Amino acid sequence: MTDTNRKADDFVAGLPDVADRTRAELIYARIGMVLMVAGFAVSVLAVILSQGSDNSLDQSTQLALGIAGLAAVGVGGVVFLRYSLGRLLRFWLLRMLHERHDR
Amino acid sequence: MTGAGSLIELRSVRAGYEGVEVLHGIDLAVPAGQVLAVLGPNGAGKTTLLSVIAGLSVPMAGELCFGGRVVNGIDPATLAASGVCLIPEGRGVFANLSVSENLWLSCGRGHSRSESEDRAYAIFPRLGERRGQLAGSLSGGEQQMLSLSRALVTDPAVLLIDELSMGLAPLVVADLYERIAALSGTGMTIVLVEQFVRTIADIADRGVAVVDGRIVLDGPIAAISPHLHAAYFATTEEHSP
Repeated sequence: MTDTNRKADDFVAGLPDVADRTRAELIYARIGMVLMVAGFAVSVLAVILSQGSDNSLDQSTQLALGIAGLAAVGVGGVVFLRYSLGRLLRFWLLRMLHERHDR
Repeated sequence: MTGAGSLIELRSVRAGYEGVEVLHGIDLAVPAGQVLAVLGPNGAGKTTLLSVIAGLSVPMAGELCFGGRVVNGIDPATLAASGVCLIPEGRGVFANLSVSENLWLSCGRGHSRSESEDRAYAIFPRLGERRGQLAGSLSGGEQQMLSLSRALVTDPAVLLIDELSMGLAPLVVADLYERIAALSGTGMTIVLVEQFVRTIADIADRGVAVVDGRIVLDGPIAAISPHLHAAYFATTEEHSP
C-alpha cells in the first residue's frame, strides 16, 4: 500500500459516523430536557407537600426532595445546553472572532 | 478502501447561503494524492465549493463523501480534527497573537507546541526570526507563510487552499507554490482555488473550471487552458477540452 493510500485510508477510518453522532446528541439533549422538567415538577411537588404538613420530619424530607429537584434542573440544564445550544454558541463565538479579525 | 476510488466526492451538490443557491448540482471526484485546481472568475462559486468540502457549508441537496462515506452535516471542527485543513482567502491568521501563538493553535492533532514550531520554522525559517512578532504586523507574504505552515504542521490528509496568491507579489506566490509542489508527493490531497491558471499550471495534476456554480471544464491543465477564456465569458454554455 502506498503512502497516499495509507494516508487516505487512515483519514477515512478516523471520520466519525455522522448519523450516530447526531442521534447521540439528540438523545442527550432530550435527557437534559426531561431532567429539567422532572426536577422542576419534583420541586413544586415538594413545596406543595411541605405546606400541607405540620410534621417537621416530613418537612425535612420534603426540603431534601425540593433541593434534589433543583439539582436535577441544574444538571439537566447543563446537559441540554451542552448538546443543543453548544453548537450554536460555538458558531456565535467563531463569528465574533471572525468579525473582530476582519476589523 | 480509497485505493481505487476517490477520496473526495461531491454528488449533485447544491449549496449556497440563506436560501440563495450558488452551486447548481456539482459532480466532482478527487482521487487521493491528486492536486486539483479549481479555476473560475469572481463569484463563480469556487469558495463555496471549498466551504462544502470543509464542512462549513452543508449541501442543500446532494452528497459530500470522503472515501465513499457520506458525511453531509458533519461538524467542521470534527472534520478538521480528522485531517481536513482549509486555508481561507485572506490568510486566516490571528492578527493580535504572535507567530508562535498562532502556531500553538495548530497543535491539536498529536503534535506538541514545540514540535509544531520546529516543523514550521524548518519549512519557513523567516517565521522563526519573527516568532515573537504579532501576526498582524507581518507582511502579506509572511502572513500567508504562517497560514500555510499552520496547515502543514498538522500533516492533513486533505488540504484546501483558497486564493493563496491574492494580494501577493509574484515572487512570493512562486515561493509559496514551490512549497506546495513539494507536498504533492507526500500523499496529501490538495484542492487549490485560483483565478489565474498560469499560477498553478506547473503543480496541478488536473483542473476544473467553475462558472456560474457549474463545472464547465474538467481535465489536465494543459488541455483546459485554451478553453478557459471562452468559458469565463460565455457563462452557461457547455465547453469541452
